[in-house]
Amino acid sequence: MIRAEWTKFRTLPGLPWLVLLLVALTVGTGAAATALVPCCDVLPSRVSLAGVQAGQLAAVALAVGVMAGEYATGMIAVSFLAVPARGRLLAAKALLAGGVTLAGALVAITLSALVGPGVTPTAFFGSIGYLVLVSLFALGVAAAVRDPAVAMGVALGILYGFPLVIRMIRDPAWQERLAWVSPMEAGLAVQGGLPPIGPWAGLGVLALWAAGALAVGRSRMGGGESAISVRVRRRRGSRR
Amino acid sequence: MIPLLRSEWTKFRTVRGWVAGSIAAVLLTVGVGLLGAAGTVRSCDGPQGDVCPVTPIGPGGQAVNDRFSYYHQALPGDGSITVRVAGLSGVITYPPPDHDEIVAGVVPWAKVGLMVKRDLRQGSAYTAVMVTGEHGTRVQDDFVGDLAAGGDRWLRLTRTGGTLKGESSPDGRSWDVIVEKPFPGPALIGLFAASPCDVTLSQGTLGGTIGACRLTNVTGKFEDVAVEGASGTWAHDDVGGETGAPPLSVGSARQWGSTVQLTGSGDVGPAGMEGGAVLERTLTGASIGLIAVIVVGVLYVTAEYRRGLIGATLAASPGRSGVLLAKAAVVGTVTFAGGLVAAAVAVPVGIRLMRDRNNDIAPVTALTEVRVIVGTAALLAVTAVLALALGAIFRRSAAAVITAIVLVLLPQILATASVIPSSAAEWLLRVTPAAGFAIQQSIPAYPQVEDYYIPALGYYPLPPLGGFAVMCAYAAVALAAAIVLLRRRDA
Repeated sequence: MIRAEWTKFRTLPGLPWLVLLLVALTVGTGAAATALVPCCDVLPSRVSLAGVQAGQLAAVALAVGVMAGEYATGMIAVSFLAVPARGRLLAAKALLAGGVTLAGALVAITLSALVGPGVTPTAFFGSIGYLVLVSLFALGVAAAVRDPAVAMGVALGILYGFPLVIRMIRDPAWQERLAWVSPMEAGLAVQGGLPPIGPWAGLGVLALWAAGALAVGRSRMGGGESAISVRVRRRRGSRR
Repeated sequence: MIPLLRSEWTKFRTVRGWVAGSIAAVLLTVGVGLLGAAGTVRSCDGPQGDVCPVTPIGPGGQAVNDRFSYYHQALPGDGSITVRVAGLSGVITYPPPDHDEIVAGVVPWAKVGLMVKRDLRQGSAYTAVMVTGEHGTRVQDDFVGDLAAGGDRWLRLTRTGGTLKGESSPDGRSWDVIVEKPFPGPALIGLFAASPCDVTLSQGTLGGTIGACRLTNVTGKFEDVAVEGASGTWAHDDVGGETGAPPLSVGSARQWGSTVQLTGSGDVGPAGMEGGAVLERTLTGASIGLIAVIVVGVLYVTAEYRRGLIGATLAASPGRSGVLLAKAAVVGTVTFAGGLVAAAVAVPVGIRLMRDRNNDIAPVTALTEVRVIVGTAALLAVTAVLALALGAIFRRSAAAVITAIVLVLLPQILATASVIPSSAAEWLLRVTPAAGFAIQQSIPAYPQVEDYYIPALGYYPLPPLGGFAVMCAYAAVALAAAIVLLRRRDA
């Protein structure tokens, strides 16, 4: 089953490119930050790994492509026929998206660490975990909303929305409260410098978001009825 | 064109997802904006309880700083004051790089000179000629007016028949008139000294920028002080001075014959973003609502490709370019209307919320308020058109959504919430469509005030309409490219 998912991934135009995009965005932005930021004031890990903020775009796109892309083309009906167990199908897709992101992140983060002024081990492994969790989160969102564009909007809205809002609010108490529930802000605490949120607790926040999204996605995939009827009901129900 | 518009409008209206997306954009804009407003709490706990100082308002209606050392006499009618600024000296506390000592020095915008002011109330009208630390001789009036006037050290203010004339001279004999304006009525005339705090910006460990503003003062030595037409005796006041202020910020004056030595701290000028909570803080939700707008804009065209409807659409309109223009008009208009509703609700309600939380609202003119509200709606509408065009170019929703977010939102994130230093952040906000957010900035940056003019604090590098024009240019180019591609390509 994993092999089937892998074949789909490999042969679809676009998806393998997203891994390259992940590496390019992460390393490129990290290198730019390294070149621009004056020495020594900023945490080296934050500078070296600044690209994660941009690279996660590709991780989101990849996961959404793996999941919602099938809904877009109708391929999902075939997948459901082949694998009637929805949980296993989601798991296989999660494994694929997570695995591919992990591979991309390993390369991207290692290169970023080499280019930048240095990273702590926590930041190194934490950022890889961050990207993998982001892709799982996006996969869950995609399974829940089924449309690639909407999924991308929802996932990126949640990731990028919180930091924007946090910057606009000047009240420190509210800033901290929002940082605790923000998957991006809390998750990137692994790169250090966010004292109220410990690195692993922060990654835990993101893991909760990912688990929640996957759970919602799993329940939205249904399971009792046949795949074809899901497809038909969808056609009738929402004219998108 | 009319039937085309009607058919596109019918499509939009009847697809539940698009209508829902547009409503979601409105709700997100209002909801997140009000959350931001509710989170803007100001507390001023002090010996007198939670009482916040009131920001003075200048004659032009702006929030102003008005704190300086003033050595003055009354000026009931006509009169003049002439002086030679013999020297500036001062104290800067804890300057960079180490911030560990108090040194002698004068900050660039330290000001000493002559001032005619209505009364001692903060925010009352004034006109002043002055010598500054590093910006030469200048004329400033009513807090926002500022004019460079060479570097001469002789200064004179003369009032005849209700008209005030400011002059400078290299030698005290030949005078150049540098300002002339009406200033009738009883007033005060005298010498003043003010020295704004020393602004330093440094990088935070999390990235972003940390500003610090350290106390300074300035001492002006005035020689050949000559006053005509004034009444009463010389008096010294710290305008806006507070009890319990640090000794270095307390002004003083000494006089021997026609020589006066005046020390002062503070600033006379517009207060910028320090002047209270700003209007646009109630509109922060627009950047989140933007995502919904992007998704709707993209789907409005890519859904046709996915469902094959595009074939019918193009068959019905073989000219092809009209289709995209009609779609752009429909999605732009709908988004504009939604954005207008959202902003028109978020601004007054948000301002009420912030007032309830002890915030002064930095006052702006009605015109500025309208510009911010309508501009936010226009920002959303242009983004929708850009997203639509990207959707038509890529024909795949995922790629189009990503590109739109990279163009519009990612620069904002990198500029305000990352380690990128502010100079690079400013470039990001000049050359990407995110420049359009400048239309939300309600308080301008004043060159005559040293402040943290950085994107993270809400100052955009381009003027409001300039930034918006950059965004429009992106949308126009994308739409043109989409039309060209649509005509060339097989559907």
